[in-house]
Amino acid sequence: MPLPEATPPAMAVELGAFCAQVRGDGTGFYGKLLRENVGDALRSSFPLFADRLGLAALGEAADAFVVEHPAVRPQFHGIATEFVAFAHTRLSLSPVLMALLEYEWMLLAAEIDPARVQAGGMADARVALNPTVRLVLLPFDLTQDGWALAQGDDAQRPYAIFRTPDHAVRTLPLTHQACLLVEQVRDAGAILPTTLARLTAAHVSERETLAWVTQEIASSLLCPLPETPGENS
Amino acid sequence: MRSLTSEARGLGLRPEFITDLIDVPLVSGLDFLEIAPENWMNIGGRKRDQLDQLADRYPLIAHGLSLSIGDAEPLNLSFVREIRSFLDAYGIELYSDHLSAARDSTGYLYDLVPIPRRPENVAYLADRIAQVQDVTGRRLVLENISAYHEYPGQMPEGDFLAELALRSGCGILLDINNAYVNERNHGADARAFVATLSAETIAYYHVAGHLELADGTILDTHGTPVVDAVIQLAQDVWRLHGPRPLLLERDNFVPALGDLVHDLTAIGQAVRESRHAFA
Repeated sequence: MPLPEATPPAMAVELGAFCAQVRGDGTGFYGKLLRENVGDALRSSFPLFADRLGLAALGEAADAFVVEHPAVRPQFHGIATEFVAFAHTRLSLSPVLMALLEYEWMLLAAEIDPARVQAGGMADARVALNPTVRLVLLPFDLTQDGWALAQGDDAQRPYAIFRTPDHAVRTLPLTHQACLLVEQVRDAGAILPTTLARLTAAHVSERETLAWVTQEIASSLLCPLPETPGENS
Repeated sequence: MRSLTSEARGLGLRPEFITDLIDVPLVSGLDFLEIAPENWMNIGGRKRDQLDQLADRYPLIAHGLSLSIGDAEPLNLSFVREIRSFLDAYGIELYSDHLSAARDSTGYLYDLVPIPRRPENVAYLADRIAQVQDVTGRRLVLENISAYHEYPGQMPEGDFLAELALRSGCGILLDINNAYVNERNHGADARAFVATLSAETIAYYHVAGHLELADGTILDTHGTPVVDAVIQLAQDVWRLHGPRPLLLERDNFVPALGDLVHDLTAIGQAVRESRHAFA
């Protein structure tokens, strides 16, 4: 098999010089275009983050991203993921801004997660966590208008972010009791509600566990699995 | 796979009208849809469901943005393999991208930049096209881009594209608006460019609207109706190279689906019923 043609050196130099100019100079046509593309992607992917950061700082972040970020994802929707990686390593964001960015990235990730979310099923069947779920601690409360900084000693709020069978993305606040149950289901992969109740009996009553399972099947945090013949706990 | 007739007319699929498109069984006057595979690959949820529904009703063609056939880095073959899987999954026969670069030694740029058109670059590009065609199992079709940077002393675009098609066997997606934009911005004769291409290499046509700035610069925005000058150029192309599937691109200020299909139909009729002589 013949070796691939090597890049003509003059082409590499000529194209490399032009691309370097485009990355480094935001005033030319392509320099502006690249920064606008990134800025548009950030505003549409991360509206809460962009609003909190402010227009000028967002522009500076988009510029820095274009100048130096080695993006490896070809897809345009990969800009969001690339920017989160860039923010971690190259931006000095406050913990709240970083949390907002990651929260909105998780909303996106749940929205486009390739997993199929099954609807319905038997309430007494084995249950699993919704395959699109992301579990996260956030330093803010989500409100109808957006978000508000969490108050009090326990300023980290646990949430589950997931997509429902009808493609809505939900952010569900979790109680400490719910965290315990979610962790048990996650560790098991799939579990019968009665088995879950038995394993968590030291912390949660059976009645509460079974009620929680019913409630979270309805919310789609939990997905009942189809029974396979001859299967038991 | 469903092939297109040479007189098929299509639209680039946009989120602005996807629900309207799904709400009716078939839209009269709309024969196919063009999608950017990068926007749909490896994605689940509502978008995947919508695409599945539309794929049952319309032939799809794929028009990529990120192949970066003209960059100076090794081809991203894992990406090309993902493209192949996507094309196979949706029975998409026609796969096009742009004769441009979308990446440099730092990484992806998330836009298309022009590449230098030099005779010594043709073999390199032809080899990359062959690699892509091997992986995708399809002829690669490349579009002439609208360029806002000219490398000094480079080959005429038509000569370069024609030579590349001859050497590689790739097809050409002739973007008629881009030819017009380049003529206005750089003085490159659009009709001479079109005439340089071999008819057998042309897979399909793009038409689109553009924006004229106060200084006379034309931007390929896909955000306005197609102007008469572009329709006249399309008529000349049709007379010279014959009928091909015709696609109307509209990515900004997207009107209602009915209005877009009306525009598409009108453009298709104007092009077919051309009495404009090729100059």
